[in-house]
Amino acid sequence: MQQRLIVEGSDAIALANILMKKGLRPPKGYANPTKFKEKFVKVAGSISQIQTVLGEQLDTPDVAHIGIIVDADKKGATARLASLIDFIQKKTDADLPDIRLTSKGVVFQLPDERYIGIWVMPDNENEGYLEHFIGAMIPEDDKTWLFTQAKVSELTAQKFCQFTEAKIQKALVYTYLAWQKTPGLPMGTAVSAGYFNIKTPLVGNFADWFKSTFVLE
Amino acid sequence: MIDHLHIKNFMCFKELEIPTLKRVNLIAGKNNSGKTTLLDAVRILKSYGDNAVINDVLSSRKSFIDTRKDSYRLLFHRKSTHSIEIDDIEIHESGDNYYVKTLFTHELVNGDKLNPDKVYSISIDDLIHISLNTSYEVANHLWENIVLTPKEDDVYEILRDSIQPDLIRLDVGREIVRVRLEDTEKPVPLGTLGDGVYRILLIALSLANAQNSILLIDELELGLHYSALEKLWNMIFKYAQKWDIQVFATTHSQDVLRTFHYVADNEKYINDAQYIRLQINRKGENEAIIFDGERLRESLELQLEIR
Repeated sequence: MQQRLIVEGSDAIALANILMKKGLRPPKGYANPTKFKEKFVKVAGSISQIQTVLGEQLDTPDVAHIGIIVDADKKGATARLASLIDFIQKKTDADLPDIRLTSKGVVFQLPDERYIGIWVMPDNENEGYLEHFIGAMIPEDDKTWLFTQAKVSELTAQKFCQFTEAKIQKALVYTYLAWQKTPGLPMGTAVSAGYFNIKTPLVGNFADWFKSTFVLE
Repeated sequence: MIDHLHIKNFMCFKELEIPTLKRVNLIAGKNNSGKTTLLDAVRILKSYGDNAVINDVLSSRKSFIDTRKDSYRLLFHRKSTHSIEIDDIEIHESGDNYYVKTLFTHELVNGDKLNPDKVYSISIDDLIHISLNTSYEVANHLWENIVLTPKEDDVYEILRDSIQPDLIRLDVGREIVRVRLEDTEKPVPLGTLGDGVYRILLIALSLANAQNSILLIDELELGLHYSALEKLWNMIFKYAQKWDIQVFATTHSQDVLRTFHYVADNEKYINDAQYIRLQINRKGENEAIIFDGERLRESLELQLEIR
C-alpha cells in the first residue's frame, strides 16, 4: 500500500514539521525522512499541474490514500474543491456523493476503496494560500508581527515593493521570519524551532484532516 | 503495423485491451503483470496462430516438458475457460483436442487441430524475437541473411555508435562470434568484450532482419550498462523508422525507461513512442496504462514516477 500527499509548492513540506511538532506519527511506510520527501510528498509545482500529478496517482493501483492540498487563492475554496472533484469523477468514472467543504476539509472514499482527502488552504473557507495558514499561527498581539505588518504596508504604500498585492501575505511571513532570533530560517525549520503557535483550532483541524486521510505509523 | 490489441483468456490475461500501439512500444510492469505474455500474444497473432510458434511459446516458458497435448492447457487463463482470443485468432479446447481458428480457417468447424510435434525453427517466424536466452545459432541465422548486403554496414554502425567504437569487422559463427578491432592483429572473441556487446549485436542483427515486420525484445536491458542505453534507443528509433519496423520491448529497468524518455522526447520520434505499463487495477482487472509521447513529456517534466 502506498500513500501520497500532493502539494502545489515545495514550501508546503513545512506542514510536515507542524504535524510532527503536534506529535503525529508519520504516515505508515514513510517514517524515513528521505522517503517522506521523495515518495510520500509529490510537489506539482503549480495549481495547473495538480491534476496531472493526481491523475498519475489515480492510475497507480498501489496508491490507496491520496491527500491533496491546494491554495484557494482568489478563486475561492468551493471552486477549487469543485474542480478537483470534477476531475476525480471523470478520471475514475465513479459516482461520487455530494461532497461539501467544511472547516475540517473533506475526506471521502472512492468505490474502489481508495481514500481521498482534500484541504484547501488556508482554512477551507477564505481566499488565500499557505502563508495565510502559517500567519494564523502567529499570535495577533505579537510585537514583531505587528511591526512587520506596519512596515510592509508602509513600503507597499511608497511603492518600494516589487510583488503584486496578491503576494503580500508571503512577504509578511518571510519578513517576520527574517526578524526572528535566527533570521531567515526556512518555514519548516522555523516551525520546529518553535517560532509559531501550533495550538490553534485551525492547526487542530488540519491535523485531524491528515489523520483521517492517511494511515499513520 | 499492429495498431491495437485485444486479448482474452490468454495466460495471465483475463481480458486486456490496448487501444493504440505505436512504432516503438516499451512495456513495463511488476513481475507477473504479463510483459512476456504480451510479446507471446504478438507472436501468435503475427504468425496467424502458427502451430510451431504456439509450441515454441510454450517451450520457451519451460512448460512444454513433454509433448502431451495437455500442455496447451497452460495457454488458458483459468481452468474454466475454453477459448482464447488474440484479436481475430481463436484457440479453443474441444474434447481432448485444441484448435486454432483464424479468418482463414473459419470454414472449418473447429479450425486447425494443434499438434505438439510441430517443431519450431526461426525461419518459420516472420517476426524477429529476442528472448532472454537467444542462442548463437539464432545470431548466426540472422547474420547469414544480411552478410555481404548493405545491411551489414548498418549492423556495424549500430555496434560502433552504441558500444564498440573501434569495431572494424565481424564474423558471426554458429558457436563463436569473432571481431576485428582497430589496433588488433588477431580476431578477438566477442565473449571477451562483455555480455553487453553480444546483446547489442543481437539487437542490431534483429533490426536488420525485421524490415517491414515486427521486432520483439524481452528485457532490453540484459547485460547493458545504462550509458549504452541512450545510444541504443537512438539506433532503435532510427532504424525502426528507416526500415518500417514495429518494436515491442519489455523492461524492468528504470534506466531503460528514463533513456527511452530522453530519446523519445525529440520531434523526430515523439509520435513514434509509446510506453505501456501493465498492471492489475483496484478491481482486480488487467489494465494497460498508455503513455504517448505527450504524456511521457509531461511526466518527465514533473519528474513523476511512472514505472
